[in-house]
Amino acid sequence: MSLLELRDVEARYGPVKALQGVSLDVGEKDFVAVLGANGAGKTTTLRAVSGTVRRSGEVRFAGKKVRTPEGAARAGIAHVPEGRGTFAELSVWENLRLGAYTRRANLNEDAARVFGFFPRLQERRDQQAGTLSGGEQQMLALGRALMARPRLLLLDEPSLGLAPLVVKEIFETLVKLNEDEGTAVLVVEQNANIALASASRAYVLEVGRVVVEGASDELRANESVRRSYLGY
Amino acid sequence: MAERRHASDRESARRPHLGRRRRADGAEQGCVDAPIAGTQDEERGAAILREHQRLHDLSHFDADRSRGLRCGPGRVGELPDLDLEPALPQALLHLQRCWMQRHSFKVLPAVPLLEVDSVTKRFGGIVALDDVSFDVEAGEIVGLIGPNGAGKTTAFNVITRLYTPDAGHVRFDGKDLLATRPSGVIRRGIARTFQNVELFRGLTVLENVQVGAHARTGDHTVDDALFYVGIGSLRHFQVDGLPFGTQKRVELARALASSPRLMLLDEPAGGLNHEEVQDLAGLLRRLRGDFDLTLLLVEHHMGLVMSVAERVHVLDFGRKIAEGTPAEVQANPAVIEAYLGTAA
Repeated sequence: MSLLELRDVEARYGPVKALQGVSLDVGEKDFVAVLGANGAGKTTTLRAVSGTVRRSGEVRFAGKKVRTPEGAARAGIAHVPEGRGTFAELSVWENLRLGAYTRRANLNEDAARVFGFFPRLQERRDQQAGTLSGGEQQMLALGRALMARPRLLLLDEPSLGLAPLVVKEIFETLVKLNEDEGTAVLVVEQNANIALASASRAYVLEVGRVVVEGASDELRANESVRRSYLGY
Repeated sequence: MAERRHASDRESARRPHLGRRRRADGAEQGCVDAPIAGTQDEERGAAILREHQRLHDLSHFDADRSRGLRCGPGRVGELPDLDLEPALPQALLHLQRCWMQRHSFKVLPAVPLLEVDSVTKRFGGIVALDDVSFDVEAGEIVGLIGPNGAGKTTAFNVITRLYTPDAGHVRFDGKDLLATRPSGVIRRGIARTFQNVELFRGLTVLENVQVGAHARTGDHTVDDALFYVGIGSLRHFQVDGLPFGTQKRVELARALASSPRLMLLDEPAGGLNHEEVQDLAGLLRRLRGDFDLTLLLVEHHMGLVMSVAERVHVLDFGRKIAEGTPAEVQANPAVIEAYLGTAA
């Protein structure tokens, strides 16, 4: 049984149908990438998983139906949204603490882990999140998600706004989390090269439908995927 | 093109000597303080003039400083009847510039369009910009790159007057920009887009772009901007529900509708896949040509920077660490270490 199962999920924004029956699976400890053009429904797919968009069809996590965003968070799904969504008025540290809101635990160890991944955040620990640079806020959003010790991490374009060096580091961090701690990852990413290099499987969406799915290697060998996403 | 190159090769023996100087950054450019720009070398000047009349169809010279110096196509016969005595230096200057342009020299106006001069900006104890200087010449596409937190967006915010620097000057078209209020910046001809999209939520695409046009009455109608950027069919959609990459296009159209001379683009490739980034590169180049624009872009997508930018400035920890062509900065060890990483 897959950790996450989507079956014929549909979603719309007003008159615009963003998902027209998407089915996808993320296995336990799996690392899955979602590729697609701007407007293909990638972000909406993640929103459907975390329950942050109205949808029909079935979303199951660890066998249970996911109904609300709160339910998704408590079940162990952490969603790093597009545009980050950090709390601008709160400090870096307060943002991180909120990430662990669903758990009762000693946070120091988790915080140390996050600061290990992103030393910049430690330097800026007491700074208001709104005063961080764009890329630093992206790091904070990811750090906050890690504080929840999620079973499944949903990432919406983690490379957005980040320097190439940091993008590389972030994906190395994700692979490490996935391998060492078994955190399942579902990542939407435009940097297809790095996404396919990190993920074991991938889906390609087009206008709200899955048009290609398979192992990352197969996708990399796929002519149209190469032309549209990899550029060679 | 090949034909012209061939012809110019043939003529190279008789080609007048034009001054070249090496800029501080090493880029070689044509310049206006060449030997013939003075009055002393009249005979040579007259020879150049004849050479020009023979080689090229030249007519219209636009010496309006604020629009940059340009030469348009025309016929030799339409050359103004120059009185060589008093008109010589000025006329030759024009011709020299035309010649340089035809031979891929850069034709520069008297001052850069944008000058950021020794700007320092502090936030409490953090020095976001530390004595940063860079220029953007009219008609150029310039990239501004650097690690996260290097000060790129702060530089944009200083230029658009959201921040007042603690030290230094910013000049636009030779005039002090720091005397302009933030709300006046767009009327000076500077428009921008935002890293994380700052559209008016709850309004439609059309309404958002109308705000841009309203800010500065210009030559471009809202419709032009919408269709040029390729979002004409979305005009009545609310911006909130649009995909991120499309929202970035709306911002671009909004900026364009204000008829700017300089556009600051903060990560225009965000949310776009490889193919879409290539389309964007073409769009930016067309924009520059069709709307007589100058573009300064912050971008992490090195593919886009490589394909559109003519020059790149690199910031790290608030300081400028490099400047040059995209190829030069990509090969610069300091840039690789601070920004690109070895695998990039």
